[in-house]
Amino acid sequence: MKRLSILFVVALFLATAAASSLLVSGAGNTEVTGAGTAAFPAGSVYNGVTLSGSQFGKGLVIYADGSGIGNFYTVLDGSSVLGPQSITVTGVVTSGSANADGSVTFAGASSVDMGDGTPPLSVPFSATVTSGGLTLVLGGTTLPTQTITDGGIDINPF
Amino acid sequence: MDNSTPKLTPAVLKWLCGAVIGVTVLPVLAVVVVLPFAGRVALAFQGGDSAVALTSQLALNPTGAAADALLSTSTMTPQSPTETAKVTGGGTVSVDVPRYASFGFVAQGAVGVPGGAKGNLNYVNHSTGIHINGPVDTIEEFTLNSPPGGGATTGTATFSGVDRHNGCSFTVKVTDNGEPGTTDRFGITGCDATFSGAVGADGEQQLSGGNIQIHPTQAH
Repeated sequence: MKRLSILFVVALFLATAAASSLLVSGAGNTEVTGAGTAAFPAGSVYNGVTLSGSQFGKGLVIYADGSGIGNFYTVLDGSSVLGPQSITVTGVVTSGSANADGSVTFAGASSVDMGDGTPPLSVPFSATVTSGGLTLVLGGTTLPTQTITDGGIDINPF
Repeated sequence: MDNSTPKLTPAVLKWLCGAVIGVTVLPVLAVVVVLPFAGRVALAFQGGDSAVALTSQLALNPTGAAADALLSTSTMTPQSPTETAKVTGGGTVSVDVPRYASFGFVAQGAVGVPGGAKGNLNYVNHSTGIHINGPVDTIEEFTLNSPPGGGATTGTATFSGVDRHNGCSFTVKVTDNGEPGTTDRFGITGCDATFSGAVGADGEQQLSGGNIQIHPTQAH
């Protein structure tokens, strides 16, 4: 009985410590920097453009209070019935969070140039990034998760 | 003594301390756990900047008295150095047209203080394949122009660091010419980053895409 009690205390203690660690990971400031290229899975489409890959550059800080600063830039390469087409997204980060699974989600306002000659549009955006990929949301459209093919994304305490 | 009451021997306490310190990472946190046998565990962690050493304390006793005392006397003061410069950026520059280089960075800290900055740089030259990735450690130069009555800030910054893979030193110069960033400039030297793009006499070239922002530092 005594041994069981000690084991119970130890298990509770570890669970509490682990939960504390998760809380802490979401409580501090987090920086994200990245540069490189990424690939879309087959069948990825945005506004009639079949997407193949992207190039990206980003530098941002997410603060413990949920605010953020920084810049996100990506060019989505693909094709449409008109031929090759590149969509340029230039975003300013204003908010975000460090997630319990180690990923970071950030959001803000972006300018989206469809690359078809039409004027750029102002579109809210968010992105969830890991060291291996990123998932971009433009307006109400969640694009398939891209896998990094060159360069990388670094997520660090700040 | 009641045999059902768990004993926390020195060996058990030592093991618990090691477990807690091993899984704990960062800032200010205090947790009190009321155990079913009426004892209490109190954990107090004090940290701040990642460069600041983490301190941790543990108290555990059957009545919780020491835990309460620990919590009431712990100092939970966030530690942040005086910071006078902050700049972020993400984008591309042309290198060996039509190829390009991608970059993303954060740099913040005291100006002109070796080792007084934090942040990180990622830079990939897709023509040469060079990937520079390392922490920023020094902000060598910084200017901030805030137009009276509001409007976008502009300015310049030069910061340096060391590539975490190759150990080579890099220096980055940037210019924020306002929003939306189409005329901002980026330049990099060191770590074999030299490229045949249209680099100006200032060592920088205009972005082919993206944005660089000099930030006021009062907010955080």
